[in-house]
Amino acid sequence: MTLALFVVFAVLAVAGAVGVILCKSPIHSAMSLVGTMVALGVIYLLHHAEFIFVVQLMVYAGAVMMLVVFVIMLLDLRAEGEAEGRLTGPKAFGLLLGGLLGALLLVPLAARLTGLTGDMTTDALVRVGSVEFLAGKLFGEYLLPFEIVSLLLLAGLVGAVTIAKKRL
Amino acid sequence: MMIPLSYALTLSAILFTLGVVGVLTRRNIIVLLMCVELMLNAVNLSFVAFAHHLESAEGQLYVLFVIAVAAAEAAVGLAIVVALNRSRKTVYADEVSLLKG
Repeated sequence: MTLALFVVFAVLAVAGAVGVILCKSPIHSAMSLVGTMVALGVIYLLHHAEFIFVVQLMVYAGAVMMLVVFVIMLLDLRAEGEAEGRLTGPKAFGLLLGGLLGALLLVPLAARLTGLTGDMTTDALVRVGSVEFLAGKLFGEYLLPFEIVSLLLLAGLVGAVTIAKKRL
Repeated sequence: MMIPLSYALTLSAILFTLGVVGVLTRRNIIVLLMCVELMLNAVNLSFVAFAHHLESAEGQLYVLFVIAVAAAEAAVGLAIVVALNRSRKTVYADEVSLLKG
């Protein structure tokens, strides 16, 4: 059952990704990307990453994509012209490079894992719950990276406003 | 029943490759940014799959950090697109060639 669901949502995710790169209109690409992100969220759920699923839906499929759609509508973009449809030299080269990279990415599948495991066992998750378990790590061992991320978000916020402002 | 690790990694590799192909073949900067998001999502998937299979919380924590960085990246990237559209009236990557020798 889990495997069947995984295959269904994997196919949906790949279909959405293909839609992102094939759609002429940016808004159609954005909608395809939302589909991919929701499908990936379900796959996170199948991997027992409930908190990541919620964050994926709220931050990625919600906030980031809303920002993208806002900018597309703000700039009033039309579908790309004729040059986009033809297979030109640079485009064929890009496809070739992408294919080579894809083949390269599949090589590590043959590698063997060391067999070392961490402390997030099913037993621990059942005992404390996955959100509480992650929170314990995030606000304990990983407190410094967490604070650095909050600084980064502040810097991103200030930077975005400064760059997009009419006059500096 | 568990999802085999190789399935998730294969899906991750396919999505990452599609993202790279999109970045290399499209002209619209907003679509390029979306393809970068696609690549980040592909990497997140492999983090989650490894976290599940190695029973380690670190994988999921890194996904949280990646999502935060991606949100900041999207905000700054889209601000650059807006500024670019205002000053040069284009959103196509090949028409922005100020630094070309």
